[in-house]
This record gives sequence, structure tokens and C-alpha cells, in this order.
Amino acid sequence: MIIICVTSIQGYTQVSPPLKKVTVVGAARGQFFGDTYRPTDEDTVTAKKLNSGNVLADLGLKIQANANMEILGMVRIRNDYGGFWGSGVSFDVRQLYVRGLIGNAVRYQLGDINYRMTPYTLWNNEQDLFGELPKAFSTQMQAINYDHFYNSDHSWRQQGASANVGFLFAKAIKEIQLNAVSTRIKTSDFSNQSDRVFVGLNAQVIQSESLSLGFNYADIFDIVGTSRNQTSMRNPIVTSSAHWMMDWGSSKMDVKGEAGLSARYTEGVDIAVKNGRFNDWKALWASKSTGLSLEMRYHFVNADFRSPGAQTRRLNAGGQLSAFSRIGNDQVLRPVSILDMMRETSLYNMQLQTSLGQYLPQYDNITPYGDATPNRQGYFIKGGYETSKGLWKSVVIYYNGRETKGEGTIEPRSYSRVKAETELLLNEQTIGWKSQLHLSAAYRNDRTERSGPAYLPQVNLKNEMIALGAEYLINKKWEILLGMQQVNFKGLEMKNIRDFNGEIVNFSEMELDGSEIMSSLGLRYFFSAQSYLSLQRFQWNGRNGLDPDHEHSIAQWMLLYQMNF
Amino acid sequence: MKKVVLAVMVAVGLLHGCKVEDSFDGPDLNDLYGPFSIESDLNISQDSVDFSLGEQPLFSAAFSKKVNWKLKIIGLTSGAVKIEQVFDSEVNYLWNGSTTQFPMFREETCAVELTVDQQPDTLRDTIVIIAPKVNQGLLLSDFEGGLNASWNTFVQSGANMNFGLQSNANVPQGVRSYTMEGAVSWDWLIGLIDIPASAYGAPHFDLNANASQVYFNTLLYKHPDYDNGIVLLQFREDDNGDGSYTDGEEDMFSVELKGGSDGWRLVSLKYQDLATLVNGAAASPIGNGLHEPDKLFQVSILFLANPSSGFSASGLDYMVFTEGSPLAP
Repeated sequence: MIIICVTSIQGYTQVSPPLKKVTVVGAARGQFFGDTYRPTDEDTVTAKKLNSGNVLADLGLKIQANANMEILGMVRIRNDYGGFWGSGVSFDVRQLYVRGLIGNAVRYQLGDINYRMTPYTLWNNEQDLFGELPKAFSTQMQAINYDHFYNSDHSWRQQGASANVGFLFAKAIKEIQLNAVSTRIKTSDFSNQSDRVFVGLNAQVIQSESLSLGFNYADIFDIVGTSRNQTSMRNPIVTSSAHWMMDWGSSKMDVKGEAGLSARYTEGVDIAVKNGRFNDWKALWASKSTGLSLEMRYHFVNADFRSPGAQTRRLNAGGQLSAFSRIGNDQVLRPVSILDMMRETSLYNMQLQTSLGQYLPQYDNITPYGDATPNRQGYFIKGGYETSKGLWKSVVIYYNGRETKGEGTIEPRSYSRVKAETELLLNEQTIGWKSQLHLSAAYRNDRTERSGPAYLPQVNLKNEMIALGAEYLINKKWEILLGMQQVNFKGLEMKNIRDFNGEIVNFSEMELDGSEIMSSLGLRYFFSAQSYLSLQRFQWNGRNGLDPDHEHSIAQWMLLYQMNF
Repeated sequence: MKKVVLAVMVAVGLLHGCKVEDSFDGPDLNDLYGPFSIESDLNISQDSVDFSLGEQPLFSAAFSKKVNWKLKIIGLTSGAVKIEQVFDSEVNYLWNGSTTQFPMFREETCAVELTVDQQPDTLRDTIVIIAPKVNQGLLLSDFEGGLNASWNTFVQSGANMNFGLQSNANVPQGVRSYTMEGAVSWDWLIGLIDIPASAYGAPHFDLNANASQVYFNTLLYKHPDYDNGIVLLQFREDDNGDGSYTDGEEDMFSVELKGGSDGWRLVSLKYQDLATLVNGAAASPIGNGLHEPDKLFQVSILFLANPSSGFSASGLDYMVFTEGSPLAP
């Protein structure tokens, strides 16, 4: 006997039963920045101080049209400080969707959709160094993530339509979920660029509580006929996944994996097809009684694997900075720093990109495109410990990998990463303390190496990241925030230069020798769980051993008011 | 059962990868950074060559890495130059006697130079041409044997008129070319040549019926001191097959050639691309509008210039129809 039912899919928020016919939802934010630029050498051209700020309100109306249909429309009103009375005011539609049920069986959504599939088909990977960011820096980063719809579930904000349906079975199989999505990622210019769409299909077979299998298909293609261009880019990806978990006693075993194929080609053009493949398997053992856990993971992603939905980067490394974009008397372009990554909204991307985006090897040279980073194979070992009430939590990760295919030589690069994170939480739950103190520390050491004849440039890049954080919450109202993050990088990397078709056509030597330290001290007052006012001081110092003339530091005061409703 | 399924999937996954491919992406770093050395000196497979017999000498050499090498063959009598440039670690070039810079090669001794970008050494040798390359196609004239008696020419009685054969060291092929010079103050036309198919013993030129396969080629000279000359080529077709061309009823395709770089250049025109022109502007076809090379009745070459622009000069050599591809002299 089969029963058709409505299911929730990954990244799809369940429609809540309507409480009111019309609900007002949204958020408001006011922020003010006071920046000071301090060059090491004389700089009489660049303005040393920069003040900016804005206030914005996202006002949304959620309308429950009937029992099976919900409509959300949200507008953003934004005003830069100094821009009242008309100038500097922007008025945008931030969200618009209709969603509901058809025949109590098929759930659909039209308009803006937050959607994710798997880490190899459609997945919004976190920006560089985001995972290790102390909370003191997350106030600004969270604003960027909110503005760009970067959700913790790794979904991409798209515009299109989605539908999902589920079937319940009485025997052998518990449930089958079918999900489909189609979005437009590029509009036709009626000349060279045709409409480009993303299509995703997913079937999830849940055999039991402990075993489920998944089948995924994702494709990006141009619709011929929507412009004068008769060629069509195609990038289908087919994957299958399995997830098995079992509890015995106080231990838990969790094994999951995904494997698949991709093809990248252009119909109507005589360019070789890029055939990609990957597989990724991990096994986790965790003991509830001791708090110990051990995870082992193996992954292989070949050099030709292309999956725009999973390889699009949030951070556009080649983006233009808005604060102190040029420095020095010769007004050179200021390179992107960890301070900019924390606060520069213009560096972030909201649309799927069909080519591999630029990245910054000094921050992450191993997984710049997340799990789906092409040309990587290796294994991870992750050991963890957590006390029962969450007083202390620690994780150590070791990664050893290498390329699947050399670049410019058959000798592959080898990669290694050692990462350790620890957290201490002192509060009412853990030690019976009324206030709350959270301490965190993280360390990451990455190495990229490639041996070869002495006449070739030797790839030997070393990256190091240290992060320390402390947050002291008094009476659930006042919070003192302290944070420090340091990044060191030194060595040589041969950066590849790709043509329009993604083929490597040259290499450029990228020599790095520098460090960045960013620290923050701040005070936050919570009006309620949904609103707070934060005053923070940030200090960023950069050292550039290869270009000491343009070394500088930037200090920033930030006042932020945030409210969600 | 679950465990078996899982074990199979894990095993397949692990066996899926693990290896590093034998090839690599991108340009070879050895070519960009490796030391350069000559592994094998310049070698020419024969001391002398007869291109008319289809002989092709092989030029070979080898280097330690891929480089931009340039092979230059210079005719010591004609001054003809053949240049071949390739990015590779080996030189394996078969020369069919063609030229890169006019004139064409003759029976002569040639100097051979092989150079490599950013390397000081030049590898040298010589080769003797016993007979130059013979180009395939329907040759209208190379002017070596004089003007075809069945051609019709007309030259205005202007000032400093010079229409006829010329022999000098600047000729691109053989030893003679056809010169067109003069000043006519009352008319655009300075002079013309009509080349009827009958001059070759048939009512129509012996050409392929497929217009996309037929090319008209000529070597054209632009005098460095005069930019005002226009060479108008006209191709008259006998659409109705009555053995004559009727003005205003049958197709005449035309092309105007003007400007360009100084000196001799090769002009190759695909017959299919020829248009109907009226006073230099594109117009509707006069006849059936079909490009029918097998019905070509007459080729006319008109030398024109604006009457107010004064003296004008140009030259022609080696007019030939080829099939399949343009002339590769």
C-alpha cells in the first residue's frame, strides 16, 4: 500500500500552520563604521579616515491566502547616513515567493527559493576562514550572510520553482521522497548569452531509520533560441549517495558517502568534453558515554569534475574593495585582507558561476571550492571529545592529500592540514554559574608542496591560522566580546591561469610572505533575544615581507543595532 | 543485506580513485623553466630539390624543451622568403616550395636559418632548388610568355600611360609582370584587359560548377607612392548557354580591389562570394543570380582611378583559378 505524503526536503523550510491571515516579518539594522587607515610609509594621497553607515529595514508581509497557500513579499528600505531626504535611499524587493500544497500531496514554491542538494551538486560552501572565526567578528559577518542569503544549511538563494512529494510504503521501503527544482541563473541578452538555467532532481529512498539511498541529478544549460547564440553550455552531474547509521549500546556508527560523474561541454562547439568523477566516503564512530568520537573520511575528486552548484565560491577574490581601495602615494590597489572578508559586502557573490572562481591561496589552498574542489584526493581523520554537559569540546583534524592530476608536470602537489579547535563553556548548565563565559581557540596549519627538478619553481606554501575568542555574558543582558585572529603565510605557489573554457593555459608564480592580525574588543547589550546593540573596536595589522612600502594597518569603530521580528 | 550493500558501495568508492594520472593539465613547466639545449642539429634531408616532381625536403632538429622556433628559407637570387614558426621541441618541417613573402622561389640556391626565441645561436644550412613549385589550377597568365594574343586590351590616351609587360627584380613570380600606369583626367577608366574563355579554346572556362570550390587568384601590386588606384575585376557568365554574353540580361559579378599594403600581395577570391556591383555598390543580380563558374564567359580587369586624383599605378602577375582552396604560392 502506498500513501502519498508531503515531506520536507533538505533546505526547505516547512510551512507552519497559519496563526494569522497576515503576519509582518522582517528585520531592522543600523550600523555605523569609523575607519582609520595608518600606513607604515609616508602616504600623502590616501584619505586616512573614512566614515560610513546605513540603516535598513526589511519589511515583509506573509499572507496566508488559504489553508494551502502562503505568499511572502518583503521589501528592503535602506538609507546611507547623510543620505536622507531622497539621496542615498534605495528601495528593493528582497524576497517574493508563493508556496503551498497541491491536492494535499505536492508541495511547491515559486519565486525566491533557498535550495540545496548535496555537497557535490548544489551546496553553498562557507567563505574562507568562516568556520574558525571568533564570535567577536561574527557580528559583521552575520550581516553579510544575512544580506546574501547565506544560510547555515548551505542553501543557495535562487529564483525559479520547486516541488516535492513523498510516498510511504508498508513493506521493504519506508518512504521515497522526490524533489525537483528549476531556476534561472542568467538571463538572455538577446545577443550572445542565452537564458541559462539550473535543474535539480533528487530521489531519496528511505529504507529504514538506519539506511537511506539518494539519487541526484543536477544540470546547468543554456536554452538555445533565447539569443542569437546557437551554442549551449551543458554541465550535467549525476550522483548517488548512501547513509547508514546504527546505535548499539552507548555508541553510534554513521557511514555516509556520495559518488558521481559530471560532464562539461558546449553543444555546437568543437571543444573536448570534460568528464569528471568523484567519490567521498566517511565513517563516524561516537561514544555517548565517553564523549569521544572518531571520523575517517576518504575523498577523490578528479581534475575535470565540474559542478557549478557546488563549486561556486561565496567570496569573489577579484572583487573591488569599497574602503581604501587604493593606497600609497602611487595609489596601488589594496589587496583583500581578512578584515575585508569580514565586512566588505561587495566581495560576495549571490549567483552560481559556471567557471571556477578566483581564490586566495594564502587563506585556503586546499579546499577553496569546498568538498567539491576538483583535483584533490586524500583522507581526513577527525578525533573529538565533548563533555556530557558541553563544558569542554575539542576537535582535532588531520588531512593528507594530493592532486589527482599534476599541473604543468606529472608530479602532483601534496597537501596536509592539521587543525585543532577547543571550546570551554562556563554557564548555569555546565557549572551552575549565573553568567556565561565562552572561551574558544583554533589553530590550523596547511602545507602545499610539490617536488621537482631544481630548475622548476618549488611549490612550498605554508599557511597558519590562529584564532582566540572570549565572550562574557552578564545577566543575559551585557556581553563583552574579545577576539583575535592571525593568519601567516609564506612560500611559493604556481597559480594556474585558465581560459574561457576552463583550460589551464599558463601559470603565474605567486610568492607570499606576510601575516595579518585582526583583534576586536566590544560590548553588546541585548534588549531581547531578537535585538541588540553592539559597540566594537577592531584593529587590523598587516605585514607584507615582499612589499613593505605598502604595509599598513586599519582600525575600525563599529556601532551596530540589530533587530529581528 | 544492508551491510553487504554498504560494503560494496564503499569498496567501489575506494577503488574508484587513489591514482595520480600520467598526464597533466596546462603547459609543461619544463618548457617554461627548463634549461635549453640543442639535442639534434639542423638537418635537411636533401641538398637539392625539384619541387615540380613533388619532392619535399624535410628540415629537422630537436631541442631539450618546447620553444618558439623559426625556420627561414631565403632565395639568394629571387629574395623570396619562406618562414615557418612553431612552438615545439622538435623541428619536422616538410617544405613544398611555397613562399611566405613574395617573390616566389625560382631555380636558385637558398640559405636556411633556424633560430629560437631568446637564444643567441642561429643554425644555418643551404638547399638548391632545381625546379620551383608548380601550382595546380587553370592559369590565365603568368606573363612569362608575353600577352595572350586573344585577349582584348584598351588603354586611354592619357598622360604618362604605361600598360604592358615589365621585367625587373621586383617581379613576384618568374621574371615578368603586367604594369598598369597612367593619368586620365576625363574618365575613371585608365585601361582594361578582357580575357575571354575563347582565348583558352572553349566557350566557357574549364571550371568546377560548384562556386564554393572555385577561387580566382592574382598577385596585385600597390605602388607605395599612389593610393588612388582601383582594380575592378568583372566575371561575366553565359547564363543561357548561347555562347555569348548579353549585357543587362546575364550575370556579371564584380569585385573592387583598392588600398592594401604596399608592394605585391596575393588576392584570392572565392567565386561564391562575388557580388553584383553597380557603380561600386551592391545591387540585385542581372541574370539568374546563380554563381556558375562553369558558365564563366569572360574575365575583365579594369584599372580605374578618380580623374581628379592624377597619376595612378598598379600591376598584375600570376592570374590563376584554383579549386578546393586558394592559391598557396
